[in-house]
Amino acid sequence: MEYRDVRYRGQNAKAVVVDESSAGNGGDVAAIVENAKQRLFCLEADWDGEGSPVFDEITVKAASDFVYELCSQGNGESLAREVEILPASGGSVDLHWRTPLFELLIVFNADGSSSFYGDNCNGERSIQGEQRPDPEEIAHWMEEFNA
Amino acid sequence: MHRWDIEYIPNYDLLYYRVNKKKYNEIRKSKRANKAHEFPVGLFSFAGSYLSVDWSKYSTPRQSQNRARVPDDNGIVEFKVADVRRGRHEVRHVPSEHNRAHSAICGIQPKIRITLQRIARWSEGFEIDPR
Repeated sequence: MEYRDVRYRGQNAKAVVVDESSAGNGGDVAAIVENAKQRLFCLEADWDGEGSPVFDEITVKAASDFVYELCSQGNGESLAREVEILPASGGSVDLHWRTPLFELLIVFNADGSSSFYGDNCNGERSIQGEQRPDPEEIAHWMEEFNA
Repeated sequence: MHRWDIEYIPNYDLLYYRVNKKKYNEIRKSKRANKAHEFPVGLFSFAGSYLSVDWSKYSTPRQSQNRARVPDDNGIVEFKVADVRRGRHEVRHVPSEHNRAHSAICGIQPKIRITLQRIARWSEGFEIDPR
């Protein structure tokens, strides 16, 4: 892996450099996750102009653990490569998939709660819940679109 | 107690939502280059179980922008009420003492955010230039 120097909460740190061109079609999942984690931890309080706090390690770990658990499912690794791990307000972390076949958003909140929604980009074949989703169920749901 | 009646919001009206420039650009930077043109789902911030918006009957995009702490730091996106309801979300008029236009989109957070990302468009003249 290649690293670059970044500032993390006022400290010098190393971030994994991901080749974005390869990340979308076969990039290494660990590199995608670790790079996203570094980006999240580099954001300072009020990064959104709305008073959001810095990202809590527990919330970021909950989101990244989900991606790694998805990897351990049948075709999970190729599904995990498509994820975008994004900052959201209030210290929440989003896992977002947007493909031509389906869209899925899983939200990991700073208070430890989670919720998710996905569909076929047209409001059909939807899946939703107000708890942490089961990676096996999510992998199965995603794979149905590629069947 | 405020003095405004609660009204039904018709489908043909618009809802305005403030987008902070800092937030828009930080989330865009976190997205993959080939997806940076999409409206990020993270733009839409919930206050508890609902998303706060302004109803076009009592607000213009400019007035909505001026309600921000630093108006110039914000762009405005708009949604058609009919499009929001088509996603099976509830749209409610919730006037406050200082804002008769204040309204709420209620429902499950990730579902609302996905819907809004699909139907949002910039209000003319209130776009944010990507940095």
